[in-house]
Amino acid sequence: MTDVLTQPGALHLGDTPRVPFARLVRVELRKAYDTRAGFWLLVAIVGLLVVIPGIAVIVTLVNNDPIQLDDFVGIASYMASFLLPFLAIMLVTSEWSQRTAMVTFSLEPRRSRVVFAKMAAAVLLTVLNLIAGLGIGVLYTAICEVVQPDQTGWHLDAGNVAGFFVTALLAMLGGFAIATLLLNTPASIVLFVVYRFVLPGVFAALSALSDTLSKVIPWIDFQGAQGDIYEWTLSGAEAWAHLVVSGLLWLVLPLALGVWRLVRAEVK
Amino acid sequence: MSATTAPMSLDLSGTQRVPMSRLAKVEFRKSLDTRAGFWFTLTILALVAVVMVIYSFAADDTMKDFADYLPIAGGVLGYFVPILIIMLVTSEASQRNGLVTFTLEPQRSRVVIAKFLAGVGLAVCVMIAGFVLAALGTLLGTALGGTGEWSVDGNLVFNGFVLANLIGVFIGFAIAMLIMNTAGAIVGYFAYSLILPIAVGILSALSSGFEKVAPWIEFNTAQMPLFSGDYTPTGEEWAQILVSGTIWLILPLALGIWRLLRIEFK
Repeated sequence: MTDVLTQPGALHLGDTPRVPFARLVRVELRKAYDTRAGFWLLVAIVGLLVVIPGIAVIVTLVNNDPIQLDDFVGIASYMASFLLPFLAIMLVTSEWSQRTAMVTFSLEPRRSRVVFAKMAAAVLLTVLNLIAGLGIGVLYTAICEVVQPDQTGWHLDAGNVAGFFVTALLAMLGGFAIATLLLNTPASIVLFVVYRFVLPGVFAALSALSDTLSKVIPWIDFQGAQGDIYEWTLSGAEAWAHLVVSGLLWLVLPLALGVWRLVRAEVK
Repeated sequence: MSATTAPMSLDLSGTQRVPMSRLAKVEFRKSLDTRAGFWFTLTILALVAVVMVIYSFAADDTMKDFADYLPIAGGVLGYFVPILIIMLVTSEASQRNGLVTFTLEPQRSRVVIAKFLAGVGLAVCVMIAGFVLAALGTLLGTALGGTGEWSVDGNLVFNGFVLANLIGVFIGFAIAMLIMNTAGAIVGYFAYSLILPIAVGILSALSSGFEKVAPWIEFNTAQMPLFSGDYTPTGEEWAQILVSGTIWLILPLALGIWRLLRIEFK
């Protein structure tokens, strides 16, 4: 009777296992597709995956042009990688804009686990995107194979696929970092577009203008430094150094600051 | 005594309807005097200023004329102003002020017209700001050794600056009214202005047949002659702008207005 735990009304949670990480990841994945915004964004991604290479199929068949599996996989993953980071952004910001953070962090108060679960979900989505791109590529190449067997090739360059995956992953993490920094959906989306598409243009224009700048800019232009990954031809100490330095500046630093903020931000 | 207990009646029939100028003024204020609108405007103006300062130091001395600075200011502002327009429309739903807006002015078409007026007014202000920033840039460029030529091609001003900005404003309206959600509309705008041209580029590279058709069906591609070369589209290029503009601007705009007039605000 002196034992507190046997008293009526006492709830003994000491033996309850913590929420397994796999379940956290599954929940985060579901947040990505089973919300209204996430669902429609996925529909748009799948639409891009299907429609743009589909137009390429029609154009190729009409012109009787030669085509490779490589081309389709490239187009499909490239188109999808545009919208995918927005999904990563919403995964983070919707906790604040839709106020799910209240529940999320009550059920799993160790916020860093939630952050890692979200990152894992983002990585999984990138993998799924790649698989979908490969699937679409095989399907469309098969169509071309049937119609014009002598013009169709099944060559697939492993380096290209790896390049797609790594650049898509870096873009996803860039979006993730911006989202954790701003915790606001529209602002993160705008800033991400500036980060990914406007900045490289500005850097390119500036390095064309002056010799001094063109020596400095490779060290700070993260998207530019990724160019060689995309082609899977990144080699040489300097190219790697460019990637590491610009990556520290544009990915590691914002991500660290963002996660630090997310772990401490007031949930309301 | 009986007068005070009788039900009060309020005679509103003599009250004048809200004048259009007031509606437009309110909408204009909504685009700048909100937290998001204020910071966004400040950020893009700062962005233009930063780009101009860097350009002034980096560019060749012969390329520091007013005609060089104007497209920079116009390009940066023109790219981001549609987002301001999107927020002006979608905030009616996302910030729920649609409930108040359409209670105070139940004739929604008047609010739509007021928003258009405010949007065009905003575009005019942005263009003036662009001119001022470009003039300041030219002064800075001259101070840093530029030739400081002030003459500009009229076609650059009208086609590349005024017309392009106005098209951007109405594109913003169309996407915003169709999607009626800030984040969704911004993604839609970027999909339209970034992804679409890239997709067209890839497909054009694959086939010259598609390349010929592209300007007729893709608005961004059709607008290129407005910003490049001698800023003067040929007759065929005007026709392409008209045809693709009908697909990507007039049609979505009409559907968007129709939707805004009927949407349920909650």
